[in-house]
Amino acid sequence: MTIKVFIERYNETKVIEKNIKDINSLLKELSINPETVVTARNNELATTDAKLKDGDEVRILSVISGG
Amino acid sequence: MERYKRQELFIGKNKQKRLNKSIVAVIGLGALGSLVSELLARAGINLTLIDRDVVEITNLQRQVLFTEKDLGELKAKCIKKHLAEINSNIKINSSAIDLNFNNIKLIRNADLILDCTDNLETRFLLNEFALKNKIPMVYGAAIRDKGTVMNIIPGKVCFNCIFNKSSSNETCDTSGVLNTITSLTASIQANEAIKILTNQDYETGLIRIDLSNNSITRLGLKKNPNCSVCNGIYEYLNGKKDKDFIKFCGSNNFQFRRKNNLEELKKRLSKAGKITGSREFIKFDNIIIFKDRVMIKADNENEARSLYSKYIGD
Repeated sequence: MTIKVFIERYNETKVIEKNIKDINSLLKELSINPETVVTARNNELATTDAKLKDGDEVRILSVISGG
Repeated sequence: MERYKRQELFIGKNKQKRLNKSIVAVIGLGALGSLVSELLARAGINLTLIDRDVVEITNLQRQVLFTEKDLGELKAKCIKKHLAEINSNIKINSSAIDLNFNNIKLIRNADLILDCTDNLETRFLLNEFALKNKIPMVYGAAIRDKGTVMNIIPGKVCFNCIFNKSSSNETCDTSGVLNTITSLTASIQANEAIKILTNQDYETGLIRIDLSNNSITRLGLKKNPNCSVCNGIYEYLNGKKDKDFIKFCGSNNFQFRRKNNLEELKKRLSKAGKITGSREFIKFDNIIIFKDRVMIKADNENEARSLYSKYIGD
């Protein structure tokens, strides 16, 4: 399966060709701490247990708290 | 009124009247808070302003209402003074306090809350208060060249639905922030507030602004059925979450319980100043960070909380 991932912190888009079952596994694969990010699947915010399928686009955004 | 003529031509007399009767509570008077306060004051909205900090030289780059004359003064006091000079027809209340579950009732008469704080703890507290008292709220935040805005409407998706397991390891004092992103984020935040107050269609997604490629992305939101706050559990509002902070009796030491990654903090804080210490702790200015807690030497609780938000995060 192919997953397109945008990592906002590094302004980087990656294409991952590997079987990855959910966002949690994707974050593990990318060594990103799930507590410090919010994730979106196909332009809708999704929890880290959200399942992934071929062609999904995932956005990994930092949790922002500065005011 | 002549003063609001240009705005009234666009939104209409009734909506302008509505704005003139509204009260907005602005929590946090930093880059976002100072600008939204100015925009709303000029638009004719009455304000309740809350902030615990004083104006520092590093604020002047982006916190638009402050001048060099304000350095060392309380932000809440300075903003009230400047806004009264801009619009003497609105009511402005300001309080220089650290907002917590004991004093949050101060904003009970607000028609809308603008969350412009610099820490997640207060954002969670405001979210619970807003939901419990059925007051709409607009969350805004910015760092580096990124900004975000989300409307929190009672009964719909709340802040906790999205951020319940979150922690932020970045602050403006360690990662930096551009004044252009804070201005843009604050403008969208103020605009959403006006839409909500005047019953216009408002944004229902999470807005993400990225100045590196001038993009504004709207992400859809879904209510979390397991959200404790939506299910009526208010842990911040009832003070349960407040115990992680202790002031040591008889000294000026304050302790915050928190799991710390010393290597990561060392890397981050070294950009802001000199770091010393050992394998067990790191020392930065008046702050000592252990693996399980943070100790801060400060003159009072407000100062300690302010240093914690500034350098450690949430």
